[in-house]
Amino acid sequence: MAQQTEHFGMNRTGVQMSPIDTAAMQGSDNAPIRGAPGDERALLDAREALIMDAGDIGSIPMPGSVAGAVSMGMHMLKGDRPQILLDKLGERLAFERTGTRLYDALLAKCDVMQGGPAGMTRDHVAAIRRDEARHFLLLKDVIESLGGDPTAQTPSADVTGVESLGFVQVLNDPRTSLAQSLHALLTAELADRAGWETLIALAGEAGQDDLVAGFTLALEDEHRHLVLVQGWYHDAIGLTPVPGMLPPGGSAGMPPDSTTAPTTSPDVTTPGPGADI
Amino acid sequence: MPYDRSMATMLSKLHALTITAAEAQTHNYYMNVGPAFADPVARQLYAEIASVEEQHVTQYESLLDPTETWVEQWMLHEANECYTYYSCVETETNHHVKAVWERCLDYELGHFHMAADAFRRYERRDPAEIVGDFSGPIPFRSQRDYVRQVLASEVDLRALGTQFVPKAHEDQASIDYRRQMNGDGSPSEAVAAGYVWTPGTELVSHGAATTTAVTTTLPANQGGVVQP
Repeated sequence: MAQQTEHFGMNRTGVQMSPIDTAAMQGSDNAPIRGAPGDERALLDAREALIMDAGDIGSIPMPGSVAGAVSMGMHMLKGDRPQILLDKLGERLAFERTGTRLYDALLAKCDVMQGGPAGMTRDHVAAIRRDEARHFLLLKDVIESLGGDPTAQTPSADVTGVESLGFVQVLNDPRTSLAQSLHALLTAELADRAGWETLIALAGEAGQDDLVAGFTLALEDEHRHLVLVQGWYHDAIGLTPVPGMLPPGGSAGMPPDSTTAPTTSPDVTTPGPGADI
Repeated sequence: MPYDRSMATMLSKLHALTITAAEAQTHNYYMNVGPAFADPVARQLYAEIASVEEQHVTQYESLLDPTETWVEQWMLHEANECYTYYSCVETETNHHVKAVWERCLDYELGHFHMAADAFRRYERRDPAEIVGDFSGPIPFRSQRDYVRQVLASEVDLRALGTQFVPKAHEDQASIDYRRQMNGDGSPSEAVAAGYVWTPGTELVSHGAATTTAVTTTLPANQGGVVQP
């Protein structure tokens, strides 16, 4: 099982572990040549030419239904940019799908690992997982209402999928500790918050007030997640909460029915009632 | 020229098989991993290296005698796997890892005996014609000095048909091929130009200078010179 705390071990990756060989590597006595002649100009030139010549990463799909085409056409006639909104909705849909799976992976760790951060119960993690899945379904409905296809992978969805590969790798690695998993989730939640802020701005610009209202509720969820995950992460690495930062399990960050959660007795091993996993 | 199957010693055959297998696997690695990069320069670099590895495969597999029968080749392959795992068992000091090599060796010995039975049954020949005693396992240890010595003495060798010759006698066909293939430069040269290994990466030696600034403010590395 993964170590819950980092420890000293047989790490030989640094040069201090082998000073004699390091000096030999840097000396020129026993090597016919040190380094290759030239500079980085050819590499820069190659990159510039390739960037100039590159195509796009995919495209926004055309509406697949008559109603969708009419809806899209109306928006474009009004001067809106529905393609930008649809691209970003697709991005958030992809991210929330991944987010749900990241919390599934954290739940799997919670079930077997002892001594999790104070206040982090299985119920809390399951509640965040439910929020992410709910956001995914909200986005699916919104994309359909705008005449889009929620099963299509938009360019930004593609790119965010690539960005998120690291999170998936970290959370599903059986060796990663809860602290390491929470660090990955903290990074993901920061990106998620920024993503919803962008989506709210885009919906506002398009005059979609009903969307702004729904997305603002989702953003509030993400704020709660961020505070919770950051608190758990800090606790997991033994950091004492500082003023201005909510303590682990602080009420502002609590999912429903968890405001009485213990703040000192971790309970990450027992599946809580109502857990939907 | 390939070895002669009736004259070559078993270890010569196994060494030819080992280097062919190593080059084939290296070729596969570059072909499989290269396309996974988004960076086109990295993709080009891996494609270039894969192309060179393919040449190595062709070169080394040409050492194998093509008149060996299929069952004979099969038996040699199994013998080679036994020899390599045996060498790992003999060299490994970590007992967990050593146990893995021992298990693999056991499997391969089973395979070898199956191939040897087939050799007896279908070819009506004695496996001892092909496999027998050998002096010792492959010594898996640092070969830095040997590699440096080979590099220093052979870096300027070139090919002329099947022969290795000094640079001045290189086959014109090779020169023409390179001129055509690398007409616009080669990815490996673009990537390596100016690179000098530094503990902690180039940022340690170049400091806060940006990539572009490096090319404009630092003198071009002439090779053999360690950048400040």
